[in-house]
Amino acid sequence: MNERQHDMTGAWALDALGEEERARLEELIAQDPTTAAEARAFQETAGQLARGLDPVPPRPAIKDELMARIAQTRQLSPALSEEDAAGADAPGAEPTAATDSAADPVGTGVDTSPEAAPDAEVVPLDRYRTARRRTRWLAAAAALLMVTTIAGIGLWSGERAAEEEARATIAAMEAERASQEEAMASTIMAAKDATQMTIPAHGGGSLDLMYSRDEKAMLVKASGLPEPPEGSAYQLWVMGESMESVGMISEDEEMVMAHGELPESSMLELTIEPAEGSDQPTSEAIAKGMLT
Amino acid sequence: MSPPPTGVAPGRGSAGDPEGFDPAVAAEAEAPASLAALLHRASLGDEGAFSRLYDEAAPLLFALIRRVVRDVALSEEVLQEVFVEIWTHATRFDARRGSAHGWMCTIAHRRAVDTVRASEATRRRDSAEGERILAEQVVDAAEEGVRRVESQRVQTALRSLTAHQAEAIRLAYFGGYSHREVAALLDIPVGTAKTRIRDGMIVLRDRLGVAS
Repeated sequence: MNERQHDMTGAWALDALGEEERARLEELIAQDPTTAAEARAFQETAGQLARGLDPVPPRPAIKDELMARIAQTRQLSPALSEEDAAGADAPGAEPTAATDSAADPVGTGVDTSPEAAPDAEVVPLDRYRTARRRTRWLAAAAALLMVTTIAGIGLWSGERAAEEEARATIAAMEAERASQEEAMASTIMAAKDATQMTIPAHGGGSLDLMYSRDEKAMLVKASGLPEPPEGSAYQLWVMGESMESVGMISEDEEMVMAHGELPESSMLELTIEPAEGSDQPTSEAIAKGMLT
Repeated sequence: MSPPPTGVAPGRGSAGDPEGFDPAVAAEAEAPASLAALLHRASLGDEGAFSRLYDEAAPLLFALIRRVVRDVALSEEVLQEVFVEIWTHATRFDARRGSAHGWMCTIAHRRAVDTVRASEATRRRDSAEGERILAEQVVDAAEEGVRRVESQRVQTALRSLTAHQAEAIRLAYFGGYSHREVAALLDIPVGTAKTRIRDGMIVLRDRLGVAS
């Protein structure tokens, strides 16, 4: 490029650079305080331009959905300086489950000082439990298969009614789904072999699932399950060649994601296990279904 | 000799308790919290603060997103994603580096632009469409200018730009075009578009009182 990099700050602040140009400028911003100061001031200026617009109140439903979503969405750990982070990224640091595709939204060449820590996890206690649970699910889901059976097995490949039904299912799930789950649902929905079914559980409630073998993806959501006994939780299993844990469900309406091969004729099972989970099922399945 | 009249009632001193003086009450009635304060509380997981932040900021961010994205349903999705991002990234906001308003606008604008570029990659590239958007925006902006003080301030600042600078900045910021697209739409070299944008931004920055 023969363009002088630091001339790009204006276009950068208006999000008018292509990916590569943006990346290059952000490198410069990270190194050169003068460029960084100008870029930051331009970014503020752009925000002022927005004040020229007439506010448009969004529909109230948007906020309702949003609040339901954030109630289930983990916040990022703060960006730490190197010293802060040093002690934190050792053993207990779990990979974050939060989808963070837009890891650095604010163009933070500006605010990503080189010493910004890679997300070493220091999570305030009140948030820790949730984060951990999600993480465990994702980890467990890594090599998954799936199946389910019994009741209504709708196999659809593009029929409208079925699609609408699936959309309705998605809509129902929507409020509590983190963005990863949304992405997976979209992927499944778009697959030709998208399958949706409901497995009733003994004692009430059911598991709703949608999956695609082609996409090696499955979403399972519990609904209406009775509160598990104190100190225990539901655990989902896939029985293929061996029994593998798919994830824990500690409260109703929770959703489990699974990535992996979904062999024909494997079984999905739900059991009640100690809250920390078991390596193998220790009780009778209360729901069981075959993956068609 | 009679005792001197004691005009002063004996118990008086004890009646002097300073009624109503209570340091605890010195705290001011709760002032409307600033966006930065709400954002900070949201970063601590305070959903109530986040809710108020949304009420304060959503109408303007929605206006911005709609201006860029145009499609209402899509804009609603983007708005929600933006606020989820504000929620997850609130911990990363640093008030020393800029205003909460600016930070949120940056998130909203970038998401809006990404959406437009992904979904309309082909639709909006021809210059006739660009010209139309440009004309429309000029009209809109002029109308909005009479409605609100902030708006007026922005319009005044925009008027201090040359016409060339103003159109380049409008196309980039409100149209969501890249500077290369701006160059193509205006039929000028890329380098010129870039310079117009930057020169214009310098003027706006100074006019709008943004510290550099």
